[in-house]
Amino acid sequence: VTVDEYIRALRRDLPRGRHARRVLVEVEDYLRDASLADGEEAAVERFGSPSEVAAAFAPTFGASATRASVACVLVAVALAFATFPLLESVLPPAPWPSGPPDYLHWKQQSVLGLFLAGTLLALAGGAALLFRRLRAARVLTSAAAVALTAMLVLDVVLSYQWHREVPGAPGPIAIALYGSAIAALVLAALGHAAHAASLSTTRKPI
Amino acid sequence: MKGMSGQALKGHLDLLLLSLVDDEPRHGYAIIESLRERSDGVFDLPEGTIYPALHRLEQAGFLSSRWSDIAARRRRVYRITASGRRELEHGRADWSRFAQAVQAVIA
Repeated sequence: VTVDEYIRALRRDLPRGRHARRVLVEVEDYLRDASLADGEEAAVERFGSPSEVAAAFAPTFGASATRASVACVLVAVALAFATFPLLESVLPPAPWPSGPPDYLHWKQQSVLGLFLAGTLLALAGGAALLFRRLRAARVLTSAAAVALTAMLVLDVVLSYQWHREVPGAPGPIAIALYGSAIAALVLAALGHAAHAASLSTTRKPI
Repeated sequence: MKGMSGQALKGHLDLLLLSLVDDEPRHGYAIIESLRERSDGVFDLPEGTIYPALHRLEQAGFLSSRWSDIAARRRRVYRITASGRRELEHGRADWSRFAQAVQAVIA
């Protein structure tokens, strides 16, 4: 097996992304150096099989995926904060002198509560990542993503009912479109967290 | 002397790597060569296990790394951080106690 063949095989066994590119460059650098000293075949043989090396690297990819998960959920929260005033500005004045009816009021409060919970959990996930508590970061970020998903679903239901009560208010389709970017980020955060968890449970290196 | 298996080194590799990088910043090839030379060939690990350990130590904040041009080649050079140095001191103290205890038992 030549160095080029080894690198191709290792590339197939590693996840995609920037971290994988760095790993491949470092491994290739090493193998080129070792080949000069001991010959290509011996250098490749001593390094270990591509599948073993990829398995040993797996937990380090888990850390990258955790960072991606935290980043997605924090961007989702930031986007929600940035677009909330825009949404408020297109809402017509509420016709009720003493607040919306109960069936709307509790949903409105729940949406705000879920948004607040999602924000706090996302920030806690970011803090856990800063302190290199990767498992805690994944759990907190996943919880934030679930809270934000529940918020979006409830917000679509709320907007449908609000639209019926207040002519001119944005309907559920408008809200779903408004929330689609946030939903995509939240789903990406959950996907990255699940990927990180699966990589972190694979065989650890020495 | 016969080389030790990776299993025998389990739990000690981090200490060895931190110690090697503490002497001076090194790239992966230099780290592996130093490990082999200083142990007189006893620590003969599959070399593919060293890089994941370096990445793990970097993610734990014990090492930092950057690309450098060395002998007309671009290489990733690892250096120890303040947190890594503290970890190394703890590791050295633990190892010293462990080695003394083993020696006391088997002597």
